[in-house]
Amino acid sequence: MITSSLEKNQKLDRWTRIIGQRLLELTAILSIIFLYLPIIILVIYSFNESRLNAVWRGFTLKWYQSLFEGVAGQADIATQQIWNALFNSLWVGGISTLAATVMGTLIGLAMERFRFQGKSALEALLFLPIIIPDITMGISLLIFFSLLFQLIQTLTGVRLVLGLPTVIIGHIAFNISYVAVIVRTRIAELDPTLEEAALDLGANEWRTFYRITLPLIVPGIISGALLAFTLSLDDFVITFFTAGVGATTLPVFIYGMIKLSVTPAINAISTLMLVASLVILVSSLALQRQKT
Amino acid sequence: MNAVELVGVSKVFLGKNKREFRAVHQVSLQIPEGEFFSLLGPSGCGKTTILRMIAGFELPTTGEVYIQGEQMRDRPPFHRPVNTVFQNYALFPHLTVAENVAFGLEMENLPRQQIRTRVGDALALVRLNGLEDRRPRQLSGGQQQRVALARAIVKQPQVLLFDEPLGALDLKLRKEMQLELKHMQQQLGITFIYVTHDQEEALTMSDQIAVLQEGKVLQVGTPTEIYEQPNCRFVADFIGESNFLVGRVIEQDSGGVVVLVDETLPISIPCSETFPVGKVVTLVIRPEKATIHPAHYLDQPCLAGIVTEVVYLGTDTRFVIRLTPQSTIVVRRQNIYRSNLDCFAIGESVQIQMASDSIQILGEGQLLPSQTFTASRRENR
Repeated sequence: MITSSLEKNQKLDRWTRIIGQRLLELTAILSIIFLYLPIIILVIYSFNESRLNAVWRGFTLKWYQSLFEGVAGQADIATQQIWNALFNSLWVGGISTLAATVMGTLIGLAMERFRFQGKSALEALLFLPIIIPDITMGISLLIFFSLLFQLIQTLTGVRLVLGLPTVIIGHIAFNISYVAVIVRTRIAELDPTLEEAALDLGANEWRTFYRITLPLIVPGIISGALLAFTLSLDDFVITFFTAGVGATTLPVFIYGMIKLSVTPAINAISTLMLVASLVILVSSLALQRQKT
Repeated sequence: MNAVELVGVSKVFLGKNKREFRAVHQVSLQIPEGEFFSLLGPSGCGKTTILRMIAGFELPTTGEVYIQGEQMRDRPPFHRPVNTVFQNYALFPHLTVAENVAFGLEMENLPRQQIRTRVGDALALVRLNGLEDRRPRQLSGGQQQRVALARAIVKQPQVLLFDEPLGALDLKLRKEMQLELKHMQQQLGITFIYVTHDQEEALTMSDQIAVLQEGKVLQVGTPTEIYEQPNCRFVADFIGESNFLVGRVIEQDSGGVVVLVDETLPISIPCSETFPVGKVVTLVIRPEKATIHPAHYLDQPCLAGIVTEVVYLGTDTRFVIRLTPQSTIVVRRQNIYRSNLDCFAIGESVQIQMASDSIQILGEGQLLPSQTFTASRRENR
């Protein structure tokens, strides 16, 4: 009698455990669907025959084809504009990543290796671009540039306008922080006696940096750069405020197109960007995980 | 010529809140060429800071460091004829064993062929041939230690600095490496400056030892001098085990002194130094220098006491003997025979015999006020 009731209890326990587990799995699956369904639909519709996004009319590669005709310069104006916007994005991303990586690395090094006045203040300031809303940053950059341009005009008579250079400066401004933070964690993991050992073995400061410090923090630098590049490609708000006329990056262009009409070529190019971002993200993570 | 000389070297660090911390205070040392010289002291005594000032990682706040007679103040680490073996080895993780060892030679811009031969020789010296292409993390602790050694030796420095290099190894390997290092030093004939907190290690390896405490050098001498003639209580206490009996000089003549311990126990000691009558002194007695006998075994006057503790330690047995109500003394007896382990029982009256010159008198000490004339002792090491 006793044993059977015990068995019963055990059975019940097992069932509750299994049900709990199933429910948990279900929640996880639902959240993942919630996150990724829109993206999956986007990818599917990039192969849609129809001009309208709403209806499925069968499989086609023509939007991709039209994109690649755009490279050859044979496509319609709209596709051509997509390509221009993409090139603008890549250009802005490339230049701002390069500059932000160099500056962010130097700041990260200084923060981790030296003691100086106002270090804790700089530390707080460094996090600011990461935490303040993009809209604030965008507006402040816009005001800054217009004041600066006014000043230059009154002083020299040269009239400057917003364009790709201002976008690049804006992107550098927020990317420096990300790079600096990532590089800094990498340097913090670095044993300072390694640098002392190099000095001890006859390497001067420059050779120590070049032969020991740099190779050991390169994974951090690259992963910082990759993050900066994706953030730059992705940015809409700050670009929108600092771009001016004619300096349209892909996100800004797509936003403009939605108001008129969306050609499925947008779906195609978004899918391509998604794939590129994934590749970058995965390699960035892999580099961050790499042990010294 | 001295390989390394420190003249009045002090180092003050600025801590948080701008509080000054004096790590090294007025240290002057002469380290002769070709010597194995140890800096010995407890952690925080400034020994590593001294080493770092010789290597050039820290600059003395005051005073000067000379290496081979040359002043080093304006010389960065990479222009000093010394190399360091670091505590954690500091091997470059992204380079192979051979590349690690070659690094210092590449910095001298030597021809590739010469680098290869010298790296091979250095690795042969530390018996690591065949591991050239391994990464440091693929090596055991002992092997990493050898790579660090090879990397420093290959530079053929005038002086090699060691910052507790054996600290991370297990006891057996450490003992092996101690002898190996000592032999290597004799073979190469370079000056070794060796930082350690392990007194046994210092005694085993050194030609000379400097004992440090709180940034000051207390005593410099050979292992025998440091052990047999400690010049202060700290040295006697830090190196080996010591009994301390504090007392007052009550008689003094050309042959020696009589010291009254705890107002009840007179001990006469031959000594050449003169101590004025009434001066408070400390007697240092090494536990192994006293022999223990049953009561009334000897006719001559000697210390008598009662056994209060017996600890069997394998190689020897440690007896704690109460001499006066306030003072006890530790005596160690080697277990020469297998059978007589327990020939003295707790509570037994015993006599303690010592060679008359085996008691060292230190002209320092403090009698505790009123009834407790407790001579402090070390029972637990």
